[in-house]
Amino acid sequence: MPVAVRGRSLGRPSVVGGAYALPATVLLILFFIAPLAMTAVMSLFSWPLFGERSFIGVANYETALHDAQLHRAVLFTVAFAVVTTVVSVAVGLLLAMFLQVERRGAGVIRTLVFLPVVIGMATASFLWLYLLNGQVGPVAWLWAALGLDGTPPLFLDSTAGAFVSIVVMTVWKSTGFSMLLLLLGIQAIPQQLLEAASVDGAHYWQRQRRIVLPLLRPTFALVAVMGLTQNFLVFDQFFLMTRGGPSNSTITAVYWIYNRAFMNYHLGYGAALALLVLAVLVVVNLVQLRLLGRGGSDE
Amino acid sequence: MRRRTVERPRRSLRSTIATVGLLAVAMVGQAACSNGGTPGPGPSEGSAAASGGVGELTMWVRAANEGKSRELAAAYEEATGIRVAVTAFPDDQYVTRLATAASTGDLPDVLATDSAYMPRFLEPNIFADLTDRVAALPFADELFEPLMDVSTRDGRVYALPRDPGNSMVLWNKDLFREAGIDPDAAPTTWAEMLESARAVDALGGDVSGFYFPGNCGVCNVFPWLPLVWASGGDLFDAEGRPTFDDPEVVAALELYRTIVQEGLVPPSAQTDTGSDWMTAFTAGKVGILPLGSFGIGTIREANPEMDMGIAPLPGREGGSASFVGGDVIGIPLASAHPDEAWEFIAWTLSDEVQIDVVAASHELVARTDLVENEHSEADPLVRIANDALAVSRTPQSVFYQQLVVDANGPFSTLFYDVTYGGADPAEAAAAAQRAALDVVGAGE
Repeated sequence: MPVAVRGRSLGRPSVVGGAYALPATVLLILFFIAPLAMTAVMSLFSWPLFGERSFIGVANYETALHDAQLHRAVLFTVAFAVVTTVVSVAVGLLLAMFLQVERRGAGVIRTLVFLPVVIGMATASFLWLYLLNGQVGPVAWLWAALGLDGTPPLFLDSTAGAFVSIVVMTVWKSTGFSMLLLLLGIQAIPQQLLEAASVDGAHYWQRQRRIVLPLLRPTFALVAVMGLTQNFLVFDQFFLMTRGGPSNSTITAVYWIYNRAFMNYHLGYGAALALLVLAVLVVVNLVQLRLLGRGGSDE
Repeated sequence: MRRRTVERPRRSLRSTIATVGLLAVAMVGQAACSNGGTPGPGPSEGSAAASGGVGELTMWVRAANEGKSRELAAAYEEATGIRVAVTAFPDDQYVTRLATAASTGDLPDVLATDSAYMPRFLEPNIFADLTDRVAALPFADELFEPLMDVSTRDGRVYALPRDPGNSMVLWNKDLFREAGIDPDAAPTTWAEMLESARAVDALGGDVSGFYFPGNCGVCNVFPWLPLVWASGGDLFDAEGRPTFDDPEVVAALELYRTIVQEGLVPPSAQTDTGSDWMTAFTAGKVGILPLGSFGIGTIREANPEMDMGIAPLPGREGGSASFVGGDVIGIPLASAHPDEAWEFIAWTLSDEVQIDVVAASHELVARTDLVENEHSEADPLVRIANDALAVSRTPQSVFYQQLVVDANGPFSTLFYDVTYGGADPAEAAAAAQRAALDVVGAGE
């Protein structure tokens, strides 16, 4: 039986409550719902950058089904996103576990690790483009200084080399954020639990595995979901550092949308692809949240 | 001994959520800001809508021409008191930016565009018809023809030439001397060019026989396509449709592949996206460099002692050709000040400006009656480039952007696949032709 709160019954909507929610609702509609609807409509058209547009129904989606480069791009993007997220979160977790203790210099290291997070991805891409440059980059200088034979490798000239280099660069850029969130999660764990376990004879790693990690689950889920989503949408690094090369092998999903829409002028097709990416991300996030479990501490 | 841990007060769930929420907002905000740095819409200066009164004109140019354009703008302001606000866009986003602006009518008073894009812009009626104004000019018949052709449709003229430049092959005469080759003889066949590159490369050390940026299709097409033209082939047919599997195209790709396979280019060339095109040559480390007349001034400034030769690109068995590019400049229909814009354009083509500003910086002039001027006479290299204008062509295709300029498009992929990717030239060309037809056939 519904509980009646004094002055209001559960059935009648609160005007005041609605008024509080109004600004957020307006923003949501203006900046999310409306553009999403417009994109959905665009995806049903052949919409050239120059010239007349025409309604073509789901033809764009049919084209996407046969678009070989799109399939390659999606596979590449998935591989990149999974590898980068796993490494980035793992490193972030290790750093959080290591730096939560107030030892000497922990604060400095935390700051240094977090610093790359605040520079833009485009800035970071250019930075690494020159770090890895065979002629003027410090890596090349290091190679020579260490006396290694031959010319330093061109990191970005092969698909594997470019993949590894950009994974490393993205982990460097984003692990600080994972670290910070996980650090907060760790610090939310009551000390009494850990002390009690310690008194009962559990050593460090047992405490981490049996107490810290399970209680970290919600934070972990958050970090993983945000990380995977962000990495799935990767564009800047591959656009600026490899231009999708060599031979279009490092083109990502979003890069392909950009190419189709703005280099080849198929805006309708680009819109369709964007909606497909959105759909995939929604599914991925739902699966992830299901697997990692939602909600706060159940214990 | 137990490590000292700071006793942290137990955080409530609420404050954790608040902190995380704050961080999430910060992250989104930072992501939004950082994404503003990636390629996308929005120049840093204002657009035509902001130009008020006759006191100011707005002008859009490609990044490559920003310096020259600002020079002209400054000179014009000094001469007439009218300010010309120049906005430059990165080259490979220029068409997209213009297209987006065109669809909203948000265009400047004066618009300069690469001549290769002009066929694309003629269709949606972006530019004003200048035919009558041009006819009134005293030098109307001396305006550089290939650039006039590309700006004309059905007999009506929509833009005027600006900064023509043609592709040339450059060579380092000192290195040639060292290698025992006649430094003053331009290569007349592909075989000769290859032999000379081999001879210079044999000098050893960090000297290379040849150079081209390995990861830039649109850079290379400029000096490479004339090799095909001079041998009787082409990338496009008369209607502007692709012919990527033309036998001469395949042969010219094979030539570059041979150059790479014989190690005649430095290893760093492979990943060069064009930013280092002239670097090694300017430092005296490269024998032969296919480039363009635009490099004369730049290389001279960086290395005044450089003794270099230039010539148009040779055909397989002889003959020569050159790709003439450059900008054309017109007045968008949307401009609120067409008369003032016209005065500015006419001024840029006047005797004084063409000679004292353009020619003085080792650039080619846009008028054939001024080709022989005091500056070009003094500079044999510019004279050669000027003479080559007679055999210079420009490709005309509405699909130039998608087929050639796009770094992930059929031409760029083909070029890299054959030169550095080890692909068989004939097969790769056939595949590229299929891809090109897809692009063209798909239309919009």
